[in-house]
Amino acid sequence: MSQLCVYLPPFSSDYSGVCTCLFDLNGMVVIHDASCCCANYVSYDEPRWFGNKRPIYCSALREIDAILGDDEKFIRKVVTASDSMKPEFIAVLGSPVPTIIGSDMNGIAQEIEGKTGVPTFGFSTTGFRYYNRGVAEAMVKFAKYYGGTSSQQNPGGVNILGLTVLDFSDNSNATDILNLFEENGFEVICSFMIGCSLMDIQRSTQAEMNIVVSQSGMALATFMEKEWGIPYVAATPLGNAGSEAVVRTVRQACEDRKSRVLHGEGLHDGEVLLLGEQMIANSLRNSLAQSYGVKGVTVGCLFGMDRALAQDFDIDIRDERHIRDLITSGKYSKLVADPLMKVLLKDRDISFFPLPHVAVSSKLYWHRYKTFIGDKMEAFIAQIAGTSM
Amino acid sequence: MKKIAIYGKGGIGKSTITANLSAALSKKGYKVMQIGCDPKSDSTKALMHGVKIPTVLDQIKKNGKKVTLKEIVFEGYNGVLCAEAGGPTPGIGCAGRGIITAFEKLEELGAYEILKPDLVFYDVLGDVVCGGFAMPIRNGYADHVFIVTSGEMMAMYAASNIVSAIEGFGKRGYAKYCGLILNSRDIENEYELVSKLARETKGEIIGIVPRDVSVQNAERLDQTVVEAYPDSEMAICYRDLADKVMEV
Repeated sequence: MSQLCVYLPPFSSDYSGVCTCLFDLNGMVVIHDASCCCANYVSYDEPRWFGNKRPIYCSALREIDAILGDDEKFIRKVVTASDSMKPEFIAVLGSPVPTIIGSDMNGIAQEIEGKTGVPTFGFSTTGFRYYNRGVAEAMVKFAKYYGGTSSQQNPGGVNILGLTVLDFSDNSNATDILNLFEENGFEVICSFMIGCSLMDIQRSTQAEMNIVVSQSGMALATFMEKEWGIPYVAATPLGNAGSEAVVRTVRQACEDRKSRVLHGEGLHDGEVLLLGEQMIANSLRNSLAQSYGVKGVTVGCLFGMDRALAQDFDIDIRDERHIRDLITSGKYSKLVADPLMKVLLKDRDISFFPLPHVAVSSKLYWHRYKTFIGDKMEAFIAQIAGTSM
Repeated sequence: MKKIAIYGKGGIGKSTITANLSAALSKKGYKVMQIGCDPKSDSTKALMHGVKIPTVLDQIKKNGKKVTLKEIVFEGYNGVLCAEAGGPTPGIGCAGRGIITAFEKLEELGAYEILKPDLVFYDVLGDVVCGGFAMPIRNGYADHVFIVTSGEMMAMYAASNIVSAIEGFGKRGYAKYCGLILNSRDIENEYELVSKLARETKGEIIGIVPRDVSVQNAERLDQTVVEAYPDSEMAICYRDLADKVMEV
């Protein structure tokens, strides 16, 4: 019962992470579920769903199919749909029921590919893991399959890794990030995975540098560095000074070909608690430290912690109770988090700074998302620091 | 790394044969890992000299996410690495899903990369009754499957079902069926009956294990025959079978 969420909803899960990655590509995505997971994704986890037409299906898994392990029925449905849709690829995703009965999504994908001749990807998504695991898996799988073998490098070419609407919503954030690098003389080859095409993914191996803007991009960054020798810079451009710092770091990394994770210096625990996505929270902390001298900032990772990105005192958040315990610890005077978490403050004397996150509060705030680059975010950071602009 | 799954009807002698193969191959200088895939969790008993090791699922239940490799893989006779997947409380839960979870945990902890065995044996419960029990033959786990059978009708029936399951998964690139191991029960025309099954399943009998009292005697000592009676006819038989297994 300690894991019971009284005030917070369940955060976006892995199948939504995969779906949102594949949204812009001309494929056919099928969630093997009873309709609920698919409905959850299109209704609550995908700001672009409304007003768009995308081939994202559910298999309408029923009790008897689960009992009998009737993979054939599922495969037949996908093959039939593929024959009429003519997708460039097919992705089949697991959900809680296939997970429990041990459906082998990779094996099923292999059978579908054998029958249709269409490249088919199986994802062992369970619905029990956070969206960032799905995002990471989808990006790596597609880069492995479509990534070209060309050794030709494009000087000034960069890829953006870990760009999804679950972290950045569908306002101007993705375009702003692309513009930031284009305006500074770089060419964005592939923005994994907003607004990219299979052709872009194929060309992505020509990049000189990868820029990882969310924790979910780290798996692909590590893979591309190992496989194709492309170094990376891990930081989210935020505000004005923070964005300039990221561009400067990318330039340095292009020169010495060394990967970098942007860490602030002289940081310590306490004062400000940032709850959210680890990379974005890290970058916000860097801005607070470097531009405003606020060094007491602790990051609470809501979706799992990547040790390589963390400070010793950062926290891997377990559940809602863990958040309540942190708030009542008396250690923090400021909380930066999704607006839904404000209720957890109760009557505590802690200043609250709302930073919406789609994977937490879904549609409640996704059209009131902060723009990450520019004056508004800079003013927000200054406000947290207690400095007026 | 060679990965081999041993299937067969419950009680047919899979664990005894697998443990003796592990022991024999370890003596030949191979680093062997044996993973019991049965909720009874007694696959590695002889290799561990009767010590009941905690299962992967026991440790997950006890320690949650914090399980380490040292808590689930143990060194048995002659350095054979032993692990037991474990299972739910009898009568409730889901044994098949348990196997999947145990396998995922071993993979998550990098068991194969860290321990680097030359050979992994998956000793799998009775029949491919559900998705979980097909896990050892999935792509990425075992590459080869041997089925233990006697000439008894139910054992051959189970063997035939297992071959059908493997064939059904053929399009998915799962493990290959590599033949039968005849664990003799001294029934009439046993060799002919099992030979017929081998022909029908397009396989072959790769080895015959005779019925011998040394097996029960070694069991009483909580040892394998290879350890307890290394110069016996049975130990020679297991060593020969081990050579055959390594030929796949």
